[in-house]
Amino acid sequence: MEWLIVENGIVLNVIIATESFAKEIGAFPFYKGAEIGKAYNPPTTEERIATLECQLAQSDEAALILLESQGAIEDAVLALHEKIEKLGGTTA
Amino acid sequence: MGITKTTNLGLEKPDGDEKVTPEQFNNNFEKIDKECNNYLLTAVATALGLDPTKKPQFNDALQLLAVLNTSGKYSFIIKFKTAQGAPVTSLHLTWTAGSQSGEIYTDNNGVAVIQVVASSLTIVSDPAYIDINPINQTYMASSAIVNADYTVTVPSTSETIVTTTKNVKFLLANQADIHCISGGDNGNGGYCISGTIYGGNGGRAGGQAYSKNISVTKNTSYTFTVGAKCGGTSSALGVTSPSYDSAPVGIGGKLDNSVYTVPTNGSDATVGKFGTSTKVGGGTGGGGSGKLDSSIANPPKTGGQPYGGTGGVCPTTYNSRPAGNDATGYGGGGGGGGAAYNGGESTFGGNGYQGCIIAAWRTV
Repeated sequence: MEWLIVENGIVLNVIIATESFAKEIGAFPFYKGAEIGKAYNPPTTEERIATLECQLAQSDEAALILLESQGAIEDAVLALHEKIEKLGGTTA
Repeated sequence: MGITKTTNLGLEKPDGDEKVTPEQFNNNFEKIDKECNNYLLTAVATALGLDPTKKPQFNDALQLLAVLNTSGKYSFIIKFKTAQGAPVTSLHLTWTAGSQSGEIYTDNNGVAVIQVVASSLTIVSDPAYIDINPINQTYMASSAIVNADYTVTVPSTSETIVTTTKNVKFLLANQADIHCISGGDNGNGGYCISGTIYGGNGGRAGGQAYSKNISVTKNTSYTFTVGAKCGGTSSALGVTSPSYDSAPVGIGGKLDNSVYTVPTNGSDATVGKFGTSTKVGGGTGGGGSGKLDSSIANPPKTGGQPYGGTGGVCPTTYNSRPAGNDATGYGGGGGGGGAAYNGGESTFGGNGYQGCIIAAWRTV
């Protein structure tokens, strides 16, 4: 897991450490966009919520597409069954 | 001529033809008899866990009994030694026995004496030790005093790779070599601007630095800091690697007005392990392809050795986004992304790889 070493508001280093050790040495959680030599400027709570909401909306959209795809597949299977029955075959 | 006294017991010893008087004889006899009483019977010594062949005396028994009386029900006396038989002194241990727990250092004879109420004792060595194999041993008491020997073993090679930031201690070694590697950079993505198509450049390799024959002190806690990808620096025992290696990265291909610039390979690592020719740090990432049509584009270029990521391929559809390949080992730079269709989606660079610290140690 990545952690930030911050001094006087500047990111001095990005390190790999366990959570317990990182907390022991006073490291800060890594955030996307953090860069060595730049100001430590983690996203605000509001920004994090907005990001999460955006991700949620995207996953909702993906789920909807998946459901629609599933419906289309079921329709296709149903049509196939009807076609087979019309031809005198049997389906499970 | 006359009577002289012996050194240890003060027995009266006649010189020459002199003879002792009956009184002197009796005094001598009493002294010898009294001294004999100071030695424990073999059966008593064995019961107390003492070695009868070492002629344990009455005071040794009293010392043990005092230990029992002052602390608990069971006394574990554990002697730690090396495979060569030398006592392992100042070994830091933590112990648990039922609800009791504590920590202890072995004494100058390599002995740890732990008194507990429970009949089962588990000892664990300080996890910070890098130069011995971890100790995790449970002892069961079948008598009030448990005497045990423990042979402290060492890793098969006196070298290791540290991949996460932590505190490190040395127990037996007093000299170390350190090779620090920083985290490699991500490769860049490919993109298209005003009809010119660019393949992404490879990622930079993590910088490296080493130092040999560094003195280390027993039981001192040293922080080994391991850098993350994208230039996180690694440091230990006063050695710090720079964020990036100066080796050139693989340059992405480019298509500009039907003029195609071929991508380039990444560069190999420039520093060997501890200054040898063995390359351990990452190479830079290879350049991504820069042409939109994979059927005619040159293939993406390989990363430098070792661990540099290979550049990404061209997208084959307008919206596909094939990424560059990730670096494959410590300090490696990620490969550059592929190109993009004219006006299509950009592509992603491969990921760089975290850094590490290689430590070797010895006793001099």
